[in-house]
Amino acid sequence: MPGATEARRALLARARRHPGWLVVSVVAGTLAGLVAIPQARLLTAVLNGGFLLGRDLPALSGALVWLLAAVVFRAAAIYLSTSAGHRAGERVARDLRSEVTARLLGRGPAYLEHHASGKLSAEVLEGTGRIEPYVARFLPQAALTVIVPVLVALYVLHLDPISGVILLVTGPLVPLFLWLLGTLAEQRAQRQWRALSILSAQALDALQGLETLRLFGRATDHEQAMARGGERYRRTTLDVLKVAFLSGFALELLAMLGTAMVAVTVGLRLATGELSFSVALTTLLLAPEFYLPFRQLGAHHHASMEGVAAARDLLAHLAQEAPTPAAVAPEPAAGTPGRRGPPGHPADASTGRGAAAASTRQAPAGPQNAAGLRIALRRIHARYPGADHDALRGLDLELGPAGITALVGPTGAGKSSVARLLIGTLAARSGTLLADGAPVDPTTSDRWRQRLAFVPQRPHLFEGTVLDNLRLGDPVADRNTVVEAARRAEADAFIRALPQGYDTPLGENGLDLSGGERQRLAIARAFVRDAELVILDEITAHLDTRTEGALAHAVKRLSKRSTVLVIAHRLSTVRAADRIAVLVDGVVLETGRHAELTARGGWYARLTGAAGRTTVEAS
Amino acid sequence: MRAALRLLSGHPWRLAAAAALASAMVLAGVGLLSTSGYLIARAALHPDTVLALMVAVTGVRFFGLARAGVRYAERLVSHDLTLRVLAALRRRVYARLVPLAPLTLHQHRSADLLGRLIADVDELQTVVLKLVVPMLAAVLVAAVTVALVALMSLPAATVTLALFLASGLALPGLLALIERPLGRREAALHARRRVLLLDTLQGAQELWVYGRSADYRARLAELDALLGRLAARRARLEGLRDGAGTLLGLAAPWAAVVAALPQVSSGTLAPLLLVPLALGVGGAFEATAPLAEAFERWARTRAAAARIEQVLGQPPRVRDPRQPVSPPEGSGLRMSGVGFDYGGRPVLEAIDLTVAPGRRVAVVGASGSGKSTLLRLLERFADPTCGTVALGGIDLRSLRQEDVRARLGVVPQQVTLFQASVRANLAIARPGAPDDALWKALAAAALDKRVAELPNGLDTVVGEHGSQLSMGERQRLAIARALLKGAPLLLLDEPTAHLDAVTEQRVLGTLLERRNDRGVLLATHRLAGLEDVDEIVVLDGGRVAQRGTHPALADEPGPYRRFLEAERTGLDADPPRVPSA
Repeated sequence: MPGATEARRALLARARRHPGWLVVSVVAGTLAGLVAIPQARLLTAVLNGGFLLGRDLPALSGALVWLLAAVVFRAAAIYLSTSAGHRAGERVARDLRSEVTARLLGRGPAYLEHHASGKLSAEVLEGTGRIEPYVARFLPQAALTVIVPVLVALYVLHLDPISGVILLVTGPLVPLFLWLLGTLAEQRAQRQWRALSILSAQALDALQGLETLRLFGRATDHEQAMARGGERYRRTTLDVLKVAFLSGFALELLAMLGTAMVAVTVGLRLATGELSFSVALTTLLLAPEFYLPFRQLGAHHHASMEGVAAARDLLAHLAQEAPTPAAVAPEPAAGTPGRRGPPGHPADASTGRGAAAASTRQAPAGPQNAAGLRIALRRIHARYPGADHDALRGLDLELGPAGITALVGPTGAGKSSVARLLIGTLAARSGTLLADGAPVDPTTSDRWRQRLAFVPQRPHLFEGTVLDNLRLGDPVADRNTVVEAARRAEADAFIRALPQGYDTPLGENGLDLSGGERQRLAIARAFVRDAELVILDEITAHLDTRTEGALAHAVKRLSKRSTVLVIAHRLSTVRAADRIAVLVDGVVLETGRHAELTARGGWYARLTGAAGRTTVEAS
Repeated sequence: MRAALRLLSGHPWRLAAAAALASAMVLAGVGLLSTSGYLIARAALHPDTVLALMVAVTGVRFFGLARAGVRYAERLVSHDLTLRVLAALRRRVYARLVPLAPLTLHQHRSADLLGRLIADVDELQTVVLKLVVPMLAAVLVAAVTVALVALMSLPAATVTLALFLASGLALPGLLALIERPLGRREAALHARRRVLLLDTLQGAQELWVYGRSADYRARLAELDALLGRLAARRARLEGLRDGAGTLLGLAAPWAAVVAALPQVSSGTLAPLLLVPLALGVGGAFEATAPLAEAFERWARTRAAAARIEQVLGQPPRVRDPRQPVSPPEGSGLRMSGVGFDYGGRPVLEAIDLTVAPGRRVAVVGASGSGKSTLLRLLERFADPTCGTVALGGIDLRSLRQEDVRARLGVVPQQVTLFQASVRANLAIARPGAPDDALWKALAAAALDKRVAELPNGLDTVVGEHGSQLSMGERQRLAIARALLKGAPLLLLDEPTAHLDAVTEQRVLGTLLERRNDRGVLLATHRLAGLEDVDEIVVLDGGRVAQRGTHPALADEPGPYRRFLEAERTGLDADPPRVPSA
């Protein structure tokens, strides 16, 4: 976890990247601070005129108009300073958001799918909002605190050296005291913050454990414990605050006493005739202006601490997401032949960029193959970046045309790698992939992907209705086409049974579907897409009979027109498959149908536990 | 919202003190400035003795010290008040939440919900510090200032009052009005971005295959651009707040002088007083400065209050009857013809089930088949849509909930441990249980050796931030807890999901032991260890598809046999389970 100083430096660095608004903010703020001088002089002139010289309103009107102008100018400068500061702050927050997002997206679809980073990242990104005040308020104010008091003090020095000296001596005392108090209190504060966080976590604990408390009949007991806990929390927090507020106290005290000192010395010298009224009053008016930036900085201190804390979280997250050699398959590497565009931004069908830049080794265009693709994988070697051995070692596999090929094998054999190879998130180091006899590079070919559909183990439900989700592969498909496809996928009835049928909202804020239901939806997606090759990663969980049956029927129907590759986890699936391939350690060891493989008594037989057992009747 | 404000009324003296201190702080500042001004003005008249000035000098020093001290005190008192309100709010929320838990049957959603609830409660408590106290203080300061000015010059007082109203009411009100649509739009866009990002990250593979990645990224960029434009508007709003606030505050001395000058000219006001008047009035507007921000917060706070109300305002799923029947002798639980709908969809239909001391029943089915729901109905966290659940022959709805649950020892699917010692976590089941009872329960859950190895044994703190227990260990702790309760019925929801095969066998053996004083209902999707149970109920599609003993069911064609086969093959892709630590 990066430290506070590191976080501050990082924020400053990012703020410097677009210095424009910050500079405007500081310049405007400086102007506002400096206008205090003519403002003081004008007010002095008015008061001098009205009090000592006995002038009346019309006589003073000139000075009054100028005074009002100064006031308006100052207000306008503050308007500019604040809004510019916020523009700068928002810019930095937005840049950080983009950086985190880009970093995440750049890791590639395969990595993201299997990483829990999604939800966490969303939360971290929400934290960028807290960084804004640090850049918007604290940074400009810090700059102003250095610039404005110096200028004001110099002017006062010129007017009345003694007052000037008072200011210039007390001014630096402020940060000195704050630093002293800060370091003295630091350790104590740290200890107490820890106690505080434990106490507040306990409050969360109670809420999360409500069900347990109810089950054991302890819910009411806990209320009393909560009351005691709340009391402890309050007392501990106050202890921390008593120390924390001391720095504010010191700041205020110095500012007030400084002003008081100026007032008293000026007043006494005025009484003896050493000073003129004008000088005395102007000096008195400018004293608070000298301390004002310090006090404003103190006011923004809390926001700055929050901002630094949020920055630390964000930076820690960025560090985590930094590309490491052990990463799972990212977007295709820049080195792959025929690829255009920076890594992390794969050419996509919608941009058209890829289609034009795609290598010559493309699958032939033209009308879709009515009988499903015939795929041949010959001696494929593939390795994940940063891995020290191949995931696929000379893989030979034939798929299609049409029909179901079931891929089985022990964990880690490389079944998912085959899927990733086919969809293009894992690049082959050597070997060939032929589709209907023509070589294809899935990592670069958009056209290839247009002929594919993919059903992962846990299909994602995107924000939108059921209809929108079904149309993922073809956003412009009309309703009838989609409904028809759903019917062929045996999903129509199940969808109609949902609260709003095809218009039921899904996703984060919508209905949640079980694993089996998601796969039924995802298979319907494949039907809508009318893909020639469908890759399906079966769920391992048990499914109820109806869902299991529906999925099996849908896949069977799919396999009439498309080539289906199933990463199989069910006995029923492999039994029904047209061909089974047994994958062990990155190579296909056995292929055939269920009966023959069982009889062979090799890997397959062992996997299905059929070796040495009498066959169970088909259910 | 009203609730939070009502909580404040529970501490009228503290609130008054906070407001008084806050106004005293500002008034001390006013005092400092006007006394200094008086001092200067007096000195300018070259008085004969310095004595006349000494009062003013003392005044200046006094106000200077007072202000710093009062400020310190005010901050402590305000924060103290805020913390009290927070504690009371949390207690209230907790009390209202108790009858609602478990809120949803989808655990992951409810964790999210709680996080937001807590954030909203925190937001609500700031209403004290940032809104109520500043408002009261501003009123006090305005009153005192205007009164003092009125003593000197009525026209000046009128102008000052007008500017106070402008700076304390009109400006904040106007700003809040402008802010509302902006804030709403920002919140909506942020929510959309969050969802879109989640979709892009979690659905990455499918987006890639279906060629929609660029599309989603473009949408993200579009949202970012929109947010950027809104940010510019917000920046201007903030600027307006500061600028207009400054303008009014700086215009006050100007206006006061302009109003008072004619009186000076006509002789009704001592010219001397012009100086303290001008200086003092300016200082008073420090009180209205925080109001603009406060009003802006008002919208946010109200939204937080509304969200809290939405969660807490839900009617509890179950209620205790007005005249509960006393708990029955027998501890048999029976479901008859039970059906349950959730979210408009049927989850269970026509369920008949009995579990009583001496009987061991297993409920088997696919994930999402309704096993957990079934348990919830038995635990009386929900009432069936049709049919009855009875304990000892009495419908659960006629009994008090705590009487029902007193008969149950439960291991839920999601284990919650508290950030407390092992001992404390166990003691929830039986407070005051002696240590050897605790060890006995731990031994039955195969966790005794592990706990003995822990740095502080039974007193080791566990839970989220305590010593890290593995999932399997947490589960076994929950089992030990349920066993410790010694209740006549054990309800277990996937109790051995995170245990390796060997430990699972051992623990299940203990749990499924036939005992006359204990009945067991085990909900599971794994069939290991069920060979001996008295009845297996197979749920399929929310209905009972099969029931019988293991040997009988293994012989019939049906879902049970399908599950059996699936478990026997090595096609299951679950990684080999490592022996639990």
